[in-house]
Amino acid sequence: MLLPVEYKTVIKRHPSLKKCLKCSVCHQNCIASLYSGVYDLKNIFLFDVFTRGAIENKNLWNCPTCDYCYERCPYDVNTIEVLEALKEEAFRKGLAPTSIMDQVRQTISTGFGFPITAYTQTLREKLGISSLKPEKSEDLEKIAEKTGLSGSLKESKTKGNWK
Amino acid sequence: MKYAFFRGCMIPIKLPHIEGISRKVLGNLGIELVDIDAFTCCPDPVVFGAADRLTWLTVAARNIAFAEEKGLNIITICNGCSQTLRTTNKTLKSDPELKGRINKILSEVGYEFLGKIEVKHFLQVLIEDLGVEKIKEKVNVPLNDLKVATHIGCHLTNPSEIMEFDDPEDPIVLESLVAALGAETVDYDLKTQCCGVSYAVVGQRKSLNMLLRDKLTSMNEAGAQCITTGCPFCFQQFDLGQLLSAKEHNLGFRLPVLFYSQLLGLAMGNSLEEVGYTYHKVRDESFEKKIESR
Repeated sequence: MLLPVEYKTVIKRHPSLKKCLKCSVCHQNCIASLYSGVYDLKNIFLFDVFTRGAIENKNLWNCPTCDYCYERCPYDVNTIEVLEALKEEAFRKGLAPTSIMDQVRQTISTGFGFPITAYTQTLREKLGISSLKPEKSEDLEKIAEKTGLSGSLKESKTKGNWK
Repeated sequence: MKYAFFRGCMIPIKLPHIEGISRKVLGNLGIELVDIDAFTCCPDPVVFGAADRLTWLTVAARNIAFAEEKGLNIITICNGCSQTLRTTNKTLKSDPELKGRINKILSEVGYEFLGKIEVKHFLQVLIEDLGVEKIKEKVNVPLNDLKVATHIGCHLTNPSEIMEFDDPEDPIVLESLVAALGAETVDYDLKTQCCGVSYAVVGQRKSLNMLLRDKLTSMNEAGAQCITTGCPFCFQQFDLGQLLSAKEHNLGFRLPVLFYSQLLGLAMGNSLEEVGYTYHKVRDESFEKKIESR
């Protein structure tokens, strides 16, 4: 079988993939394989992601990083390391889903992963637990500048990523 | 027993009733929770951890540094927070080069990761530091004859070399914690299958509804009357997610989910209202009768 260019690139960066015999054990408990609606035992999620499109493959983000593929692989292929590297590359190039971009932005600018609503505060008061203090998190913004994350977030604004 | 309390984002923002009851029952067990206002989002391992690993590790190292300043180990009430903080702690402790790189960034905001403390999920604290016997002593109204489906949640056991907790293939910790309350656990086929949180994040509702249909049906067919977990993301899937999946697939049952601290609260003698059950989307009359008739 002639392998697509992406597969060669991915395998070069992650040589542990060479050990993969496509035995499909990773597929057994993989929710991205079982519920994306496009995979079967001959065409499993991991192989599809690694061979077709890689970072542009939208199904990449159906992976919850549950780690069962890695835990179960009889050949110790570090599938998670590859999946995370692909997601990170996709994110950096502005190809991640809007919801992923938004949550990262939200975390950096407020220190919380989700927006704090008025209802949250009302509920907390009713329950007798202290209200939350949404503050602009300057530390996290400084960290994001230093690591280069701020650059990736600005880049993604201009790309118009998928939803 | 004193810990820095890392409550995360999901529980305080979306499920504050779980924060309330967790504080109450952990306090009742003699676990002192110290609040640290400077803690931020862990950040989340599935979204943030995949998007930018270096920033993820740095923000997590900053959170750990606050607990180090107080000389306290961290207790979490979320699988995601546990995985993020444990991964960071273990990775930086064993990789001096990466630790140096991250500390260089942290020094810009005035912090340093030293690697002096440990991070534990509350289920881990209950089983390892407190012990089942201490929990049994606090059970005032046992949950006799209640059949519970347990879901430990992938990110608390995997990757096993980082999490070093329970058995990913045959998780039993939650089983023994449920048994300590007098309840029974059921064995079901899809026990180790993920709750489907990634589909929720990217809005793939059709896939998620199918996944939840299968997982919940597997629990129901095994005879479960309720579900328990120690992860707020899994909790949300089984509560709000169940509501949506049931609408699309006409599920002929309702399986309420209780966070483990809620179940513990009921066994300690609190009412359904006191543990925050009234805020749940999926409630079931026969389950309520069973609890109230004890």
